[in-house]
Amino acid sequence: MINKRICFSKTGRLKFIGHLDLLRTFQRAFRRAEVPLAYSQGFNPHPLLSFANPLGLGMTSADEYADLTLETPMDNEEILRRTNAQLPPGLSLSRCIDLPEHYETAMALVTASTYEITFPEKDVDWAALTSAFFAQEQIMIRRLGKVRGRKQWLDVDVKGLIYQYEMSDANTLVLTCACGSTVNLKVDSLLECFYAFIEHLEWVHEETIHRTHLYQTQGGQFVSLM
Amino acid sequence: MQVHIPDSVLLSVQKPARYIGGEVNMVRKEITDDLIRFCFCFPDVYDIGMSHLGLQVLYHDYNRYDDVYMERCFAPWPDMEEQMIQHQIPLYSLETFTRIRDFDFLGFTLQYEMSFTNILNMLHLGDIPIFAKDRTDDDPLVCAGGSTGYNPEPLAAFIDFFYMGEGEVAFGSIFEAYRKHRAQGLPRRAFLEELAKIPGIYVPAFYTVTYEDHPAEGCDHTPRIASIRPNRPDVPEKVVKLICEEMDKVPYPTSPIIPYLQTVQDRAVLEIFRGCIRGCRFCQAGMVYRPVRQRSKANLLTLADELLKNTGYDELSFSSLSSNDYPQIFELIQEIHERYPHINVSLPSLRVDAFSLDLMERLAEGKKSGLTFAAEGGSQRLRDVINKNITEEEILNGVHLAFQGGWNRVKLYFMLGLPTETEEDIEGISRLAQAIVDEYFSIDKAIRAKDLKVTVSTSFFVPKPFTPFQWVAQTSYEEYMGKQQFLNGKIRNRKVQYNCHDAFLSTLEGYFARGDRRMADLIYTAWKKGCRFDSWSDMFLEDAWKEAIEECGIEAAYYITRERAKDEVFPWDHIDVGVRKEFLYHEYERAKQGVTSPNCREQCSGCGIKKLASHGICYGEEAGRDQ
Repeated sequence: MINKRICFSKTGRLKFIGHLDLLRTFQRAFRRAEVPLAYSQGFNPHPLLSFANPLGLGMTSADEYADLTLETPMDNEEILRRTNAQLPPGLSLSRCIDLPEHYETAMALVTASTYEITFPEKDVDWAALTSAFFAQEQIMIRRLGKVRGRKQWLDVDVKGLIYQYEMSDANTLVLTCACGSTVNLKVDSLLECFYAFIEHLEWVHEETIHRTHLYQTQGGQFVSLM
Repeated sequence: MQVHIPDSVLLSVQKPARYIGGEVNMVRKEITDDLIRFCFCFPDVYDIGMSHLGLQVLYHDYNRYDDVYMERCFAPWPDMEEQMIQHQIPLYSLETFTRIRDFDFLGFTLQYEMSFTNILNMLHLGDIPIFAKDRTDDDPLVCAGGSTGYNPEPLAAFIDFFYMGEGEVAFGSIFEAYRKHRAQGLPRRAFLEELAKIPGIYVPAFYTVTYEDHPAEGCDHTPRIASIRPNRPDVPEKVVKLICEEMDKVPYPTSPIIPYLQTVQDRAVLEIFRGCIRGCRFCQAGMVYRPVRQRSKANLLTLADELLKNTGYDELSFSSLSSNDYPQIFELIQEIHERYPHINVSLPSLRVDAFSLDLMERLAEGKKSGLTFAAEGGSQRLRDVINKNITEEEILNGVHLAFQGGWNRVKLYFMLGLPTETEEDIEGISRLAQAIVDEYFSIDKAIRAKDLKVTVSTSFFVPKPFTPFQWVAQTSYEEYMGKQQFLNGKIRNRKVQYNCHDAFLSTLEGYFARGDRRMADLIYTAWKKGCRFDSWSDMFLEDAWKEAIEECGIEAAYYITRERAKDEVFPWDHIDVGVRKEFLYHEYERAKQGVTSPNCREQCSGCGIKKLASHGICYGEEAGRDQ
């Protein structure tokens, strides 16, 4: 088995493409690029390609990852060159590395991510509002969860999932929080909660959200996935 | 003018990818003053429109011209429409976000009658006068074409000119005329006068419809059409449909735009031939797409190579009206399968016999999807009336083989309300379903697959222009529903599921299918009442349509339930699709006698299509040349 990990960015209009559509976009780009993706065995064979963590609709990112398996060997530089020539504007591979035959998937590795959230220019003291928001003893959000197998709305305290935050300028919040398949904080839910907290402003999706990093944890430190 | 769509708008609607363009293989051009800008307008939502092969064909064909830029626009879904109105965003093109009123041409494709209100709505959202007569030199030229446009009259008031026939043929001449026109700075009217001289172009304003001075027999106030005549000396009495003559020379979109969103037709599509040899008497496509013209196998293999290479799709679908009728279908599939083992090939419109079952098994690599039979009529007598060349024996043989091969799902399609239909014919539907169930149980338990499921679906027959049934009375709403109820009472077997639905939409379709210029009022009134996306059952405003019909005084007795006289002047009589009216009437008489007609491969019926082509091509001759 020839396993690879790629790092890519998703910018511009591509922020409106959902996760499944992105997967199909990549599958087709690899086929056009003649990058020999291997297929799964079984009744419905599908190309062996999996993403580290789905990015929410409307967000851009500089640091996304996917794992793939090839049928025949191909040089990493060649994969980058061929695939980038086939990707639409807004998607771009930056790196490609070899993985061993047995490896932990990017999906399993991800533990945290950093977002840059730029609030709209308004006569609002975003720094004061965010610090008041994060200073709460509990930050309760509503999420759909399962209780004994049945879906229902739950109130969950996510304060522990927020690892770091600071305002990098008057409008921009840099937030590092839990991300991944075990614990995950949805930025959308947090924003909804934030706007409910500040009460006098309605949430109209005016901020831009950009993911700058996806991390794994190694020796208690957040480090890059490759 | 470029339109700006705030992210907040796109994030507040379902499927924002419908509204952003930028897909792989989208054409990009530099915008210059001498560019001819054409916006292809699909009067339905993006996901439907992007599945339409005609869009891809014309998009790549017209964009071959350096000084022409064809862009796209679709009907925004009501959630987006609401946002656009609220934020004062005019309707725009997906390529450059240019508002559609800045284009030189807007071209609407007409694929089904129930998209007409969307055309009005799109013009309105584009800030363009709804009626052709109200447009000025500052407005785009609004044109339309497509199979539903062969009866252009219901839309005559809204469209500046119609294009009759296959879109690849004459747009070169239209653009040529437009270049001259623009250089001279002539008014719109002068350009339309020039256009009307180009074969295949129909400018409704240059034709006058007169009516008889008394209501038609059995009608309260609606008179029949007396004549449709040109009102200028230099336009043709009949507008003749344009066709491509040699399919292998017709450009094919081998780099189609690939939507990000999953659309209805999310695969590579290869058109293997145009037209149909079958001659089913209810079928408009079978008549208006004549003659049969096929691409050679060598050409198709080249096109398939390019298509798969340029798209990266993992599925290839053949497009035609009847896949089996492509003479080398087996070899074609075999070769594609050998070249591309990972590619799924799908064949719509496949008739079921031993040969095609073998084919299907091969294609699906052991996966057994359902079998589909479009029997259309429930009895042999009725199938003879409609010239649907499939017998009960063939169906039963087909399912027998299929059940032996491990298939267990069968879908059957029928129409209710066909001419001469009796209760016995309708009962025949349930008898056929039962016979299929019996066939299944006649096969040894060890061989057949478990859990048989037979699905019967019926639609309501709507008579269409340019078919042998263009003269017949359409079944009334009440009768449609009665027939459906009757059939529902006859289907008792638990293995058989019957899908039925309301008939009002079919009645409405009937008004437009054989409608005339007097429909304009109805379409406008219904749109004013909020009707749009009428082919979406959750959007369909039945009461609004009923009110509009009432207010506009549209008589069902005239448009729906009236048998037309042999010498009836049809609203579409000034359009010539090649197939002669005499031939259609002759076929209608044979239908009434229950006599079938041979298909084009067996024997030429002399439908008249040969006169359209410069060297009189038709099925036989072309096949001869191909070998």
